[in-house]
Amino acid sequence: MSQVRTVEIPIGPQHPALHEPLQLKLKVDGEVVVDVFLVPGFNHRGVEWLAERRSFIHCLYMCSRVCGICNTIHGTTYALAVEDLAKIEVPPRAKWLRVLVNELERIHSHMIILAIIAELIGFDTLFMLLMRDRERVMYLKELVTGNRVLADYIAIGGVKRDINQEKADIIKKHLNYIEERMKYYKKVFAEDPIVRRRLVDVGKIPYSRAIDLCLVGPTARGSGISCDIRKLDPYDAYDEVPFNEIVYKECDSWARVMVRVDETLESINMVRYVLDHLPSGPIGPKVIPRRFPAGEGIGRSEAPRGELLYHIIHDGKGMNPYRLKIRTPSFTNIHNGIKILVGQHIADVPAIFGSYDPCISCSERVTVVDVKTERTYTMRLKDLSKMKR
Amino acid sequence: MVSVVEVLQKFGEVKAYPKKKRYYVEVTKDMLREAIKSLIKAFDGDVYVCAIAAVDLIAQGLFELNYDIQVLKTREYVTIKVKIPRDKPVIPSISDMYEGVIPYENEVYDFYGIVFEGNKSPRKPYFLPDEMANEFPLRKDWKSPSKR
Amino acid sequence: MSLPRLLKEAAENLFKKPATLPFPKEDIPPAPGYRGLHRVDASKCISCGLCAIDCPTKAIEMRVYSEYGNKRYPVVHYYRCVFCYQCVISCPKKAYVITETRPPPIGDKERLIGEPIFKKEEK
Repeated sequence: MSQVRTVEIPIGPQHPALHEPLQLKLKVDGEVVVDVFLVPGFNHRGVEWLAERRSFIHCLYMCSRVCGICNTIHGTTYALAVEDLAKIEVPPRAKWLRVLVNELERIHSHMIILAIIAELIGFDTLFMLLMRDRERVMYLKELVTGNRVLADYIAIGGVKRDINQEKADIIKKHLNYIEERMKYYKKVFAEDPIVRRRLVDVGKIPYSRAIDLCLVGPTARGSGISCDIRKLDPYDAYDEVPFNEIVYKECDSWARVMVRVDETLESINMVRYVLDHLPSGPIGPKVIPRRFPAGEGIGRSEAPRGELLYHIIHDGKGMNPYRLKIRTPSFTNIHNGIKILVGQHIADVPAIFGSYDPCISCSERVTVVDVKTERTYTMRLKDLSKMKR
Repeated sequence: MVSVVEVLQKFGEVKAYPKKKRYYVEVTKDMLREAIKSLIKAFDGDVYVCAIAAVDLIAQGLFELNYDIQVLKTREYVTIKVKIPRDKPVIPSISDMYEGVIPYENEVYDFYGIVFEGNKSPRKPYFLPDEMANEFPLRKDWKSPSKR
Repeated sequence: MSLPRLLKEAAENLFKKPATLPFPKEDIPPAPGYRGLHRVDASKCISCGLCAIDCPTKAIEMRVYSEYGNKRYPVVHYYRCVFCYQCVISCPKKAYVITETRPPPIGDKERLIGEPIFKKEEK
């Protein structure tokens, strides 16, 4: 029996290579990773337990704060699940406005993960240029919803505020500048020789292995699986707004990065189409619903990181939901995706991990860990909004 | 093309949610693995598991597990429901068919105490700290330490 | 090859103004429509209490004002508020007055409250 002596390297909860609080223990033999072991649980907040003790309207605001970067899509999916449970109709203008805000969020979320991948492979100039151009998207979000990051824009049965023609013109002017810059960045990612040396043929995931590991989102679309929920199971106004689904077949980190670059360009065209063809009418329900019947509701949508699923079960008694189950895309992508790290070199580990788009806030939210959370729960609700970048 | 309704009809009655192309069916504990194997065979492996949601029905003395499955070829979505008794929560695992289901089953074990036979995960509990190894927080009769 | 082009852009940026906004030195107002401090107009309020029930962080307190007819009016505690504006929408009489003022940095949290507007000159 051969004796392989391995060295264990902890990439701990605070580390400059990872932007997220989790612990990876790698066993290496020379430069090659032999085994990997994940210790999660550093960021638990108890969202599913707390949801059974708050009313339906309070849960809407709590579920928006599960993740800071994708807060609009969490609110939209919760509203879709509750509307499925109680059979509430959403007016057409509200559906198109939801598409507008979700696509603006997709643009700024993809820009930040491209900037982080550029920083992890050592290209700091590109990181700074992408973050400077991303500030314009935050200004547009402040125009439409009232705040740069946490847009409390969705209500059960519609949206909360409207836009006028003046704001639509300002949005189009800024989008022209952003589109020109994104085309330039696409050339950098596709043709720059140093970026290609670090990303091509690194972290290959073939098609059948990606289905076996149940991966979702751009991580799976870089391997050839076409699993965009906006085409598979359309919600809101996505069956009326034309767009292409982006799928690459190369299965490596470069393909996963190019999927995100192309999706940003598609989202810019979708926002322009929405602003030109908005229908008129009311934007929300006349009466805010407070009591809900017994039954089940499912809400599915396409977050910037993959498929997001909310499953709500109610027994008809009381003002709080009986059970709320949230399955976020980062939960699957991270906990299953690290099995790909076996057989790679240590220096490739940050680049592969960054190409999965980790969002640890999304992936751990199940129950109360310590006694202090129970006592100061109102402070936690405000602290959650400050926890993400 | 074959539809999910025809494949799963022999295991139980297939009903539809109000929205189009979403179905649900209730099967018994012993037929769960057969149902999932027949789905994989009928659609050439283009099937993946989205989530496993567990519900504590304390009034009836049961746990209910919902397996949410998406079929990529026909764009259909089916939920398979299984009910198991509350005082003996044991169910066979499907982690040999899908390696990606292991974190979902670990999470359900951590919070409800349902044991999946055949799940070879090296560390239990997965999310909770080691001091809470025998406490199952999402059950309806669990009280947090400050209220005891 | 686009590598020389990025170098050219980086070299040009050395001689331009920095892109950071000089915020506390110059006052830069937020975009129109920003969600700032809000108070209730007491002449329209009917004391139903729906804003206090719907607040997700329990930041609204219904206080009894004995000098204005012994009725309850809502008082907003800004240090607990997240500015979601659910109270503005839940009000059946649309009695909330909204502004675009940012909440100021202040040391004593108990002083940061928003009382109802009773006299007409304050509006």
